Amino acid sequence: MLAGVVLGMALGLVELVFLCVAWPACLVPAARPAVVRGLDRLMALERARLSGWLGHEVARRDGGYGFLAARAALGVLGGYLCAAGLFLGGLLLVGGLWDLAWGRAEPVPVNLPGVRIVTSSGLLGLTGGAVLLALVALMTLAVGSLERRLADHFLGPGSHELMRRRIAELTATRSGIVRAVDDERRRIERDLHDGVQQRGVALAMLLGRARHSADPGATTELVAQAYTESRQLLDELRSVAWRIYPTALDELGLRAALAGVADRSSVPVTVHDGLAGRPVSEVETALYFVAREAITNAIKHAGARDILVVLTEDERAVSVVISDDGSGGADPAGGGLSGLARRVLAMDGDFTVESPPGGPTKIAATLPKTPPGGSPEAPETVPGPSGGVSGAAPSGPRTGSSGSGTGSSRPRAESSGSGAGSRRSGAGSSGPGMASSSGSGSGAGASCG
Amino acid sequence: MILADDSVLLREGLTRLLDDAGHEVVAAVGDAPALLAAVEHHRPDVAVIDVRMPPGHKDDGLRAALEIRDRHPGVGVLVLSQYVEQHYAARLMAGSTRGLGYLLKDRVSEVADFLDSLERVRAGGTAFDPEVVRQLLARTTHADPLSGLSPREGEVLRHLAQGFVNAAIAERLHVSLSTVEKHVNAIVEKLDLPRDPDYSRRVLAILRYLDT
Repeated sequence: MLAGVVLGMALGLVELVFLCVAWPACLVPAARPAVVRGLDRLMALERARLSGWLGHEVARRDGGYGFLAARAALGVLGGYLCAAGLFLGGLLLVGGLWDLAWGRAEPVPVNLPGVRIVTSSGLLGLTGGAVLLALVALMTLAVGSLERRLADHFLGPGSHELMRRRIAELTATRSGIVRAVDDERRRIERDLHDGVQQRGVALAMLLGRARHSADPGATTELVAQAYTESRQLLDELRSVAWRIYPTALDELGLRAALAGVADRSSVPVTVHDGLAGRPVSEVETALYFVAREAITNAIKHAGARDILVVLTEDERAVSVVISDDGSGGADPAGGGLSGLARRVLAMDGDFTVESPPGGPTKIAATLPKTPPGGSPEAPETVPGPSGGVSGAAPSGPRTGSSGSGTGSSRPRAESSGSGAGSRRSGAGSSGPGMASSSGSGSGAGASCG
Repeated sequence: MILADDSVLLREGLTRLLDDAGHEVVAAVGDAPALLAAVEHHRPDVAVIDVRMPPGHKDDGLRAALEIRDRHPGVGVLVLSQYVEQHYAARLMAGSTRGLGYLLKDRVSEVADFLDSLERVRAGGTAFDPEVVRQLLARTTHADPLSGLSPREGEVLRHLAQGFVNAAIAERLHVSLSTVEKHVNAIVEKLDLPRDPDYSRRVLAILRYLDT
């Protein structure tokens, strides 16, 4: 890094000279191409230096004069201070050593109020040199981090670029959620076809045989069988309905719904619930389905004998982690898991699957407490004013009235748009934490999809 | 007989039902390759086949049925489907309709009708689900000539399309055989169908007529 800073000083000098020449040269039309070429070349050098010595990759090409001017000032000033400190520190160290080695050190009295020491000029030189070098090291770090910040500011993704990335992310998760819905429907159809309908046909067949049969004894027997079959049909129907959506989730909450999953499981499932209150409905549902799918997979594919579900929360997010002692090897791109990943990513969450062959498997989902759709009361406040005063208020009703006209799906879309906007500004004000979490979310998406 | 259905429950139920009716089920299989192997081995009179079966869980059963009709024209094929798919019916009808049936799965509960359909297919006849015929009638482009039929003739046409022979139609509609023959002649006349003494070819002609 020191080399990077010192190199930065030399480059800074060049840049300073370039800027001094380029500014007036820009006024002459004939010289402009040469200036642009020079700028490109300097920027290429800067990028190489940033990535080579400061470990900072710069994606965008244009940075321009602003960056060069700020960079040159910082480079020259910082580089000069570092070089001067290095030089002076070196002189003091070498001088001190020289004095001590040749015994030419002279006693130096330090006479301060309360302190009275007699030291030697050699030791004083050594101490001074060491302190100065430490200062130089600190300053190098500071200049390096300033350089990175400068590069971020001038060359990093601007608000436009951030918006573009966000739009790309939203487009991807939106189509993902459509696919997840289709997959879900396919699964429901299969559940109904393979389970309920077959039992229904079997039941009808038993009754048909009973009606067709001439022997009263056989008829009684067939009706008894049909009765048993009808009970099984009802059981099957109940369990299919429960698989589609457990009503306990809405009525009693996540804890009760997960307890239901644990009860039905053939393998012991321990649930640690570290949630103080109930998350909003979408978050609760997503957490539930992640946990259930992970448990099903652990039993069905990994042959797990012990499953642990841990729910935790902090002020921003709710997490669920499901770990098992099974044989691992879960495929994040497989049907169930990729559907869950899509669902979680669509809510700006983070979904990870750790499942090395041989196990154990750990599946984690983290969801922001306030999903992208905005705060839970937002959908009600948006269509609210429109219902009463359609057309009276000047700006509000326009979004609202279209919502009240077409039904419930419209206001949701409206509110999710405004929610995304407010979240973006939130990310800006609350610092890098928010930005990095959404970044890791999209990263997980790439690995899952 | 050979049964092919991936649901164990239905396979067992059907086996019992056919046993009760005096048919011999020589093999009951759960997927398309096993079905083809069983047909190859046993050469049954009829194979009762579910459309959706492993390995693909799509129309594997139907494709197996087409293959059986191709390789063993003597084996009757009765296809059972969860839904009426005009597309499936059309693919089956593409060839001859000799010894061919396509029924909704639920029809097995109407035991007498189901056994009757099975018997027709076994004897080289045809059995199409009333629902298939209803859908054919609903979307046929020949609505005008059809509206020229009397209500009774329309009823006879529906039975003809399902694959009933004249005698069976007479019995079902509680009329005499000669009345049915009169209606059939009128239908053939009005719809300008080819006069074919072969019953199976006549059914095919009617189905093709409705399907265009």
